[in-house]
Amino acid sequence: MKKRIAIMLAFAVSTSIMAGCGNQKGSAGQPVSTGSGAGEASEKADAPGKEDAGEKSGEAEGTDPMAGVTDDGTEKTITYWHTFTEGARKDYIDQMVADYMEAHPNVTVNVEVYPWNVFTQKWTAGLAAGALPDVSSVNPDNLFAIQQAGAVLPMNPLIDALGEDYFLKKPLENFTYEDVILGIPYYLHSYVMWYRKDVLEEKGLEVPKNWEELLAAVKEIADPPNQYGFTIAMSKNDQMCAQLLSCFAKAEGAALITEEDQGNLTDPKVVKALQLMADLYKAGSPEGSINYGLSEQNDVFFQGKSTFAFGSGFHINGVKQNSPELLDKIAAVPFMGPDGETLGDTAFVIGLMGWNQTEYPETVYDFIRFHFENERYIEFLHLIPGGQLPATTEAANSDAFFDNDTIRQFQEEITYIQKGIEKGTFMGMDFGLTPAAAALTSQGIIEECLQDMVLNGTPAEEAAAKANEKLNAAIEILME
Amino acid sequence: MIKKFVNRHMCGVFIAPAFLVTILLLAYPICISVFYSFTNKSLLGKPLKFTGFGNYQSVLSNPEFYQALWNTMVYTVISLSLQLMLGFILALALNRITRFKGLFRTLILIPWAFPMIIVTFTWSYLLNDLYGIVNGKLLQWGLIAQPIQFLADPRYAMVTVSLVNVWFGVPLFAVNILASLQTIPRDLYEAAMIDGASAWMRFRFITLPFVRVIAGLLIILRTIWIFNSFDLIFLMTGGGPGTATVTVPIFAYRMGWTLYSLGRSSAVTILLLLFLAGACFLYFRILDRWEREVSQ
Repeated sequence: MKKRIAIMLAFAVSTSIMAGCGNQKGSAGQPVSTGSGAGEASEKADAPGKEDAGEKSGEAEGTDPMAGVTDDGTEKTITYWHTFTEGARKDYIDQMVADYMEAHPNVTVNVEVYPWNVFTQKWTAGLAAGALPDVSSVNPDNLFAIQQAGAVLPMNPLIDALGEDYFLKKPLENFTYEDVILGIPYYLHSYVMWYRKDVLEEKGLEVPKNWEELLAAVKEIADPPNQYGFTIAMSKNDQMCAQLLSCFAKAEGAALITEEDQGNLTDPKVVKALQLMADLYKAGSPEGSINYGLSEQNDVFFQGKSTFAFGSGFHINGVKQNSPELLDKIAAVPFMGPDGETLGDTAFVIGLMGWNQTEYPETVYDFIRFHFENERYIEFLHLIPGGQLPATTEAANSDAFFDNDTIRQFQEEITYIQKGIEKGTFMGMDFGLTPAAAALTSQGIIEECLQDMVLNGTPAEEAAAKANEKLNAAIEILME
Repeated sequence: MIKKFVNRHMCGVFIAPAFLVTILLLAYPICISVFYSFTNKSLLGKPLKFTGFGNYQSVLSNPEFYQALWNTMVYTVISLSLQLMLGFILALALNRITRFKGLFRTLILIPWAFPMIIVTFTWSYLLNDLYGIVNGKLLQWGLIAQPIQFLADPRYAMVTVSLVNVWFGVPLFAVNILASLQTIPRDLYEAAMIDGASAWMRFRFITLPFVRVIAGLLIILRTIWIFNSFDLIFLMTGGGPGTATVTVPIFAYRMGWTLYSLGRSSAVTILLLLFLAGACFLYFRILDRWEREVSQ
């Protein structure tokens, strides 16, 4: 592993030096100017197909080492696990893979699609059986666990080849641990508070600017079963409470996990946020939302029964699909703290990663880079307009990305989400990637804490203390 | 000499491959789980260390484990007793039906035709407080003033998931008991009727002794399956609200898969194995006695 990283870094350094010698760094899709492949790549060129490889490397001289090694004429097979199970995105990935194989006839990409909820089981079983992919999509919690398992292929060489500014700074930082870039952000979002403009207008209410106003608005609006205020979904099978708590806590500048990887639920600010969520539930959430997960929570908003909701830009698509007549009536604002402050945001990312058992690291880099070729990438982002925000600087600043009716309509909301991405961190990872964050979402601890408060009337401080104890016990196991 | 050897040992040779496969498939997972339960085995592939009884100590000192064990027993008792009772009633009814026999037998098998994921989503939707048809109809008929929180109220959640399990499990009992009922010779009933036996006496002294061995085996099987059942409760409530429906398999899952601690998770499963082995031992003792009674 160390040897491989060393070779990769040597390769990357030589790449950078060559790039600095007068050649221009290309954007995705354009050749990245470097010399011929080095290190492992050259070793592989000595294998079968050497003649071809020589010719190719000659052709590739001054062009693109990753593509050069990928196209050295030897047959290569890589496996790609991805989680885009639904129609349009699955079709898009299938087409992209077909395009890649057409462009690189000696490369075969085997695709395996699976839903997110089996990802942990799949990779841990794959790790034990030695049957891991070469490339996969990944979320932050799993990415760090994979790093702990020593199975990550560092992405530093790819970033060195593409340039540090190729991806937005903060998302890439969020995927970096001790200078090792563990994954590449594929698309991003941050959470905002959605609301129904028409319902607020009807009640003569302003958009709430602080927690007091929010709670007052929810109380004023709630008229079950016709209209609810804010749906607080508490199913232990999901992580909606943890995410919402993260949004409120970050907005007031509180972390859920300390820098020392300890639970921070007893922090008075976090306790205050927990109390707010319990109050919002009592004031205007469907009673059964104690057992709601993501889909039930979203359904209530998408079908127009909830006035407020928390979510990303995916909500635009959700409303469009379920109740298109409501599309003009929704809007979003950033999450606010108790006094209206927004000191932080909760960001989320779906990334791409390489697995270090791969035989073809250069092809893995090349294939990942292929995802970001500008036109293709924007086409992917537009599959769920506003839901999938760009990770590359070029796409984020391009007119092409904003050239979409839905994105134009929700430009203000998307700007809030983009700002959240630019300064936000992942849930529980305010101080960088940590395995402790997984304990926030995998055990249903926050959800159980809220259930305890609303079902048993347990005071917020007491419920938070119990939850913090459980959280620390889980963190201890994760950090062993 | 050869003939003698063949006669003596050939059966062993033929049985050996199947025996070996069975041993590997059964013994290996048990042995490896026992081994892991004494180690810090992690799904993240960390170096293996022997931890003695540390994992057992950690599990047995966790109050949530006892809550999970209690919940599992409640879930098993409710599910099993109702499945047996309703399965029996259904089998007796089907045994008396003379018209559309095939149709009714097919209909009662329907719950078994659905994958558990479909069963849980369907029931969760039916019982939803806002959109569910169950609450909708109860409200419409004026039987309730507020929707019942079937899965969100700790008082009802365990009963609700148990009843869904009953709906799912009744067909197994019904079909097997029906098959057993059909093996009872009709002349036994005729002779009993001539002797003046009442319907209850015919059931008590003819039907029950014939059926109870099959029913006993079904009870053993279903006890194991229900005790180990994970998907139904996990998908419907995730163990909530609070800890109202956390069962031992859910507890073990959270340890093993989400905290990557296979060592602790193995300790939980070994404890579960011991508990079930004890229960099955008791069941088999009773079943042996019944079998002896039938053969006499």
